[in-house]
Amino acid sequence: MRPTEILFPTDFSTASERAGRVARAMALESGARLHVLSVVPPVTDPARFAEQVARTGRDLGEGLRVETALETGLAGRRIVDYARAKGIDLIVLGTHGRTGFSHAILGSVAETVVRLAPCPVLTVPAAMPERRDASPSSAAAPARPCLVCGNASDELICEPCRTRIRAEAAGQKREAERPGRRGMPA
Amino acid sequence: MASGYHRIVLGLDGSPHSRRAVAFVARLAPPRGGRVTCVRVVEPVRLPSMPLVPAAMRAQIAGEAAAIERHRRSVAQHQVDEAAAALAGAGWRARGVLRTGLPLSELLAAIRAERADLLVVGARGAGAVTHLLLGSVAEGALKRAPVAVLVVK
Repeated sequence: MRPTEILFPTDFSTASERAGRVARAMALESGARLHVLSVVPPVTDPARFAEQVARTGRDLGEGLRVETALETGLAGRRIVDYARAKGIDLIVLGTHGRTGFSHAILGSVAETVVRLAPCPVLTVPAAMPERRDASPSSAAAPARPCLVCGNASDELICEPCRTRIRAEAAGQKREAERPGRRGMPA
Repeated sequence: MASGYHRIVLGLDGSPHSRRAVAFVARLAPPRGGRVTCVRVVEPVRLPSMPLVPAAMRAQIAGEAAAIERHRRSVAQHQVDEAAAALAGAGWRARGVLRTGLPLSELLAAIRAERADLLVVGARGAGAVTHLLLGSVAEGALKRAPVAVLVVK
């Protein structure tokens, strides 16, 4: 039995673009349905991502059965929930290859997914060497890499990362200040 | 696998998860020139230092350790041969390799040696702590492998 439902969770970064191509290739080959899922951090307006996830689905979906979905919450958990609900049998996931400090503060979606997923997970690293058949479109000089995800950005930390960090901080603050937690009045 | 992965290193440890990993790769359509190296790492038997033990007994203990290691290697060899045969049956060019040392570092070394572009491992393996969701080898591979990693459950 080959995979019939392949899930590609994306955050629209360069790292996940690569994983998207791999997911598409595997879906084409096995005749599987491709699920494109984007998880919007809590306290963020999901509307602006709806169009983006639809576009990603169209871009990857030529000649494929595609299903796109938008969820709100913590990415790792939501991806795993989706995989369970939809009977996914392979998750293809991009990794930023963050280590050390930025890894420790941001945690890792990939790690959560690999741990909890009900099915095999293929992680595709951002720095994976690819065959040089793409046109050198990067000649359009990206400003500089974002400190967190390494995507080109005009600012030190790019907009999607800022949003994510803010949302995660808010979530953690909420959790930390929940009544009854150690050091807090019940 | 049309996804561009041609050289696969498949880490085996004889666990149910690693058997499923073999089955998963076997189901994928092999690309032209696609090859899989099944790697089984055998950890050497480490003896404590025995300064107070009489020489004869030391020799006997060392002999038994060697016998244990021979046994482990023959079991491991059987496992990689079996896996390689299953993959060859599915159309992959497959071979089995035994390495001696620490599992994670030997797997990473195998990736370099084979110039692999994909590492496949079972989610958790033969270690004592089987209740973990992710074994130490799989976790280490995710963190340190320079290539794509497929974790099979």
